[in-house]
Amino acid sequence: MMTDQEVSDHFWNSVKSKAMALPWCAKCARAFFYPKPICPDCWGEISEWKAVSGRGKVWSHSVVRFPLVRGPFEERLPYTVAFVALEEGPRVLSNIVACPPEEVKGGMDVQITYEERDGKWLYLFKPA
Amino acid sequence: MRDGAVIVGIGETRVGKHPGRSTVGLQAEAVIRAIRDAGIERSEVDGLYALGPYATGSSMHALGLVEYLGMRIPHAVSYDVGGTVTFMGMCLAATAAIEEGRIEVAVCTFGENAATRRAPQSHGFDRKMTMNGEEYELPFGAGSPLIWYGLMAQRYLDRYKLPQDAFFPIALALRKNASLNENAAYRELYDKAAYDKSPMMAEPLRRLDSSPVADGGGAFVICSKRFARERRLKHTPISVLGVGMEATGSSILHMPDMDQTGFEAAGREAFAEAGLSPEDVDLVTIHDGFSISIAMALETLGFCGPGETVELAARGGLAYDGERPVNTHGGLMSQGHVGGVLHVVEAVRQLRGDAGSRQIRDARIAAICGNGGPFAVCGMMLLGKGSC
Ligand SMILES: [Zn+2]
Repeated sequence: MMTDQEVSDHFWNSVKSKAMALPWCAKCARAFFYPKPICPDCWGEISEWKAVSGRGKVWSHSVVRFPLVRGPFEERLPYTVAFVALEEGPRVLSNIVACPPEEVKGGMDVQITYEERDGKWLYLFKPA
Repeated sequence: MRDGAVIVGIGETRVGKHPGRSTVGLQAEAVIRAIRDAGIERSEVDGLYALGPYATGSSMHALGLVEYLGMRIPHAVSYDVGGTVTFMGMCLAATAAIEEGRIEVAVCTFGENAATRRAPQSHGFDRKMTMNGEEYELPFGAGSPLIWYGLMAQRYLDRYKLPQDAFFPIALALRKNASLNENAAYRELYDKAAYDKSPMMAEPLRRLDSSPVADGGGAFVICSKRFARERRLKHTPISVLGVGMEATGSSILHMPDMDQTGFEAAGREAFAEAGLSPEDVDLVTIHDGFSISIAMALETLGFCGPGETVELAARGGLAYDGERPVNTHGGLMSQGHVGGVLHVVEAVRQLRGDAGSRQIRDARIAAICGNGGPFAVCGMMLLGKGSC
C-alpha cells in the first residue's frame, strides 16, 4: 500500500505536470478527494489514478477581504476561495482567478488552470 | 439500570478580557462556583470532565485542573468531541459512569483565556492541533474558520436567493439578547448602518457575524437522581432527556452540504429518546460561531422552516419573549466565545426560572444544539425541568 506521503507526492506531482489526477477506486468506480491510500467507501487499497477533465462548477465561494491568514495572502486581498465540484464528482477547495471577485457566482462553469505560487505548483480555476 | 442523571449546579465566570487569568484558573473558578451553586461538598465530587484550551495545545489537561484544585478524584477525564457537542458527550459519559455505579457526582467544565493569551493576529484556535488535510487547504489562503463558514453562508444565500446582507437580523437579535445579560461582553446595540460598516471578513460574513474570542469559563454539576433526591439539593434538578450526535469529518475539505450535516441524525435520535418534537421546546441554545450557524441549526433540526431564519429573527422571534427564543444569554456572538459551555449553563438557568429580566415564561424544555469544526460533528441535547 502507498504511504500517506507517497499518495501526497503522487498527487502534487500530477499537479506540477499540469495534469491533476485523483485517486480512483476501481471497485467502487469512483474518484475521491482529498487523496488517501484507501478508498473511504470500501477501505480497499488505491491502485489507480485518474486525470481530471478540469471542468467543474462553483459549489460555493467566499471573497476574503480581511487579513485572516498570515503570510503572503495578506498582500493578495481580496481573493476568492471556492469549492469547485469537479465533473468527476469530488469537490475541491481552491481559488477562482482571472475573474473579479464580484463576478464569481455559485454554479458558474470553471476550468482548471495551473500556477506556481510560493514555490509550489497549484491547481486553480478560472471562468470556463 | 437506566435511571438517567440530573444537572444540579451551574457556574460561570466573568466573560470578556481578563489579563493575567490562566485557562486552568478560569476553569477552577467555574468548577468551584458550580459546586457551591449545587450546595454540595467538594469531597462528594468523584468525576471531573474537562476540555483543554483551543488556542494552545494541551495534554492531560484535566490533571492540571485536579492539581490546581488540590483534589484527589477517581474519574478525571480530558474530554473533547468538538464545539458544544463536547458538553453533550460529557453528559453522556458522566451519565454512563453514574448508571454503572462508578461515580455519583461529576463536574463538567470548559474555560480559556483565549482573548488575552492567544498569539498575535491569531483567532484563538490552533487548528494544526486538531484538523486534517492542511496541504489541500492552506495553499489557497483558506485556513480560517471565517472562510469556512463564509463558504457555507454563501451557499445558503445562493440557495434561498437572499441578499449579501441577509444575516443582519440574526446578528442583531443575539446582540439584543445580550443586552439583557450583564455578563455578556458585547451588549451595545447597533443599527443597519453600523452593521454595513462592520469590516467584511470573508463574504458574506462581517465581523459582526462572528463570535469574538473571550476569557471566561463555565461548569455544571451532574449527579445521580438518587443523590439529588436524598441530598435534598436546593435547586430544581434539570434532567437530561435525550442526546443525539453524529460526526462526519473534521476539516473544511469534508464539510457536508447544508442538508447533509449530522444535525439530522442527531435531532432524530435526541427527539426520539425524549419523546419530544420541536414544538415542545421552549428555548434553543445554539453554538453560534457565526450567524449562519443559527440558521443551519434551527432549520435542519426543524425549529423553523427552510430558509425562514432571517425572517424569524427580523420579527423578534429569537428574543426571550419571541416565538422561538434562541441564545437568550447572547450566545458566542454577543456574550463572547466560551466554547459553548455557557449554552448549557443558560439552558439550566432558564429551566430553573432564574434568568431574571430575560426569563422565558414557564420554560420547561430546552434544546442545546451545535456543531464542532465546519459542521464536522453536530449534536443536540434536550433538557427538561424537574423529575427526580
Ligand atoms: Zn472503494
